[in-house]
Amino acid sequence: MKTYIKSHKTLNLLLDSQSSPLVVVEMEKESHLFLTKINFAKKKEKNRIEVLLNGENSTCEIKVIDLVGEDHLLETEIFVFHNEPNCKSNQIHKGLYKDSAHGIVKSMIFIDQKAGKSNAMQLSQNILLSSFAKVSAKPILKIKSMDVECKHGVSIGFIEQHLFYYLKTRGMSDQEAKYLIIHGFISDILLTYFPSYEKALNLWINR
Amino acid sequence: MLNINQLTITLKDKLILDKLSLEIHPGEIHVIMGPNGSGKSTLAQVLAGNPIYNVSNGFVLFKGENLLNQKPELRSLNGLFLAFQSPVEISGLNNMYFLKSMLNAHRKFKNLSELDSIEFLTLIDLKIEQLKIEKSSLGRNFNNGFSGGEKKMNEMLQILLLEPDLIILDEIDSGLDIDALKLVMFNISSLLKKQKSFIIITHYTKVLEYIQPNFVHILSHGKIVKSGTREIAFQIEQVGYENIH
Repeated sequence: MKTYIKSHKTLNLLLDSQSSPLVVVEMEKESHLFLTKINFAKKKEKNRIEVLLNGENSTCEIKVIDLVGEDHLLETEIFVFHNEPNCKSNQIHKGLYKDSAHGIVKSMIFIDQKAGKSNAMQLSQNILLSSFAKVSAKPILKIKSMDVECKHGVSIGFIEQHLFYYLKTRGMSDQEAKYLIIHGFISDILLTYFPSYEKALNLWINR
Repeated sequence: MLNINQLTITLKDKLILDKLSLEIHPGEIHVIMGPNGSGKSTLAQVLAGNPIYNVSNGFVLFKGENLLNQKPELRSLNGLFLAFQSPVEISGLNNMYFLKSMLNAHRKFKNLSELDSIEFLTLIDLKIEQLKIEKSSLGRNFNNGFSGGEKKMNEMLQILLLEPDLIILDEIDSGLDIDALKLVMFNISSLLKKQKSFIIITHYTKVLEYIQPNFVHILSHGKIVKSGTREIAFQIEQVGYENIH
């Protein structure tokens, strides 16, 4: 199943686990995309978001939260193509992996030779909530123009124990401390775009 | 309130506290001073339940119960509070959300109803007024971008919300300007009237200008080498730790 959208103006897309696994958005001149997705993975899944900045001065801001538990496998691909000059993109991916879940994250920035003055940023932050969970995150940069500004970053790690300890000294149980740290990790996206998912997050952590 | 008996602590085979004993009663202030590395902060962390330390010997009773086999959260729920020397920052965690969660965890433990947002706002307004904290700090992420002094005031705010029975202040004076320090000490005096007990760890005698401790203890190489009135602290200021006998 594929969702294809072409836009010439500002477009806000809120996606969740029910959304199509392949979303392709083509942005025309001076159009702006705000795409946000929260994904509670089920079994084995592959999701791909593809944004084509096909018009000059078009921009996109992509924010994705992945929550993967049990023995599920989630592949997330976020591909942004800068095909015209003066375009701007920002990708933020946050992943949480528990039990024996497995995540694969591929984030790509492609900048065409003619797409000068491009500004592109990608960040993937991943927290492992179990020593059996694993994730591999692969940033891919294909830059054919010299006149670009491009940044990328990836982090994978466990909850920092000193944060956990501090919250426990404030009377929080293991579950409550974990919830506060996870909530903090994704709150910028969760509270702004998916406030109704707070309860689902709590259930997911405690499941 | 607190009975520390022959407490011996090691960290990676290094002796940090050496058969330390100390007894604190309700409504008492004990000031602990000592050179860097003497074990002051270790004592605070061990009492709060930091798992990195190994208790080699001794015991600690808090309100008559064995403290050392309690998890950090139970120690807190039972009324022990450590104001950290360097409080952590938690990105994304809203300060107000944290404070409300903390208070409600304690209320749940005491079988009290949890406060809703409006009830909590009414309470927190009173507390920030007591400490003259900017209301905007409640909307910020927990300690993120806070100055050293703001972090210490945030620890004090937690104390005013919880009103714990035993309060350990690990260098609360560092990072605070003189007005903030006066406010902290004023609030400590108010809590003393409610029979709260304090362990105040400090390097400086400044705090002693505002409070009257029951005891000042000098810690050196993991042992209390001298206990007495606050005159000891002023003596140290003049002659240094090495010349205290």
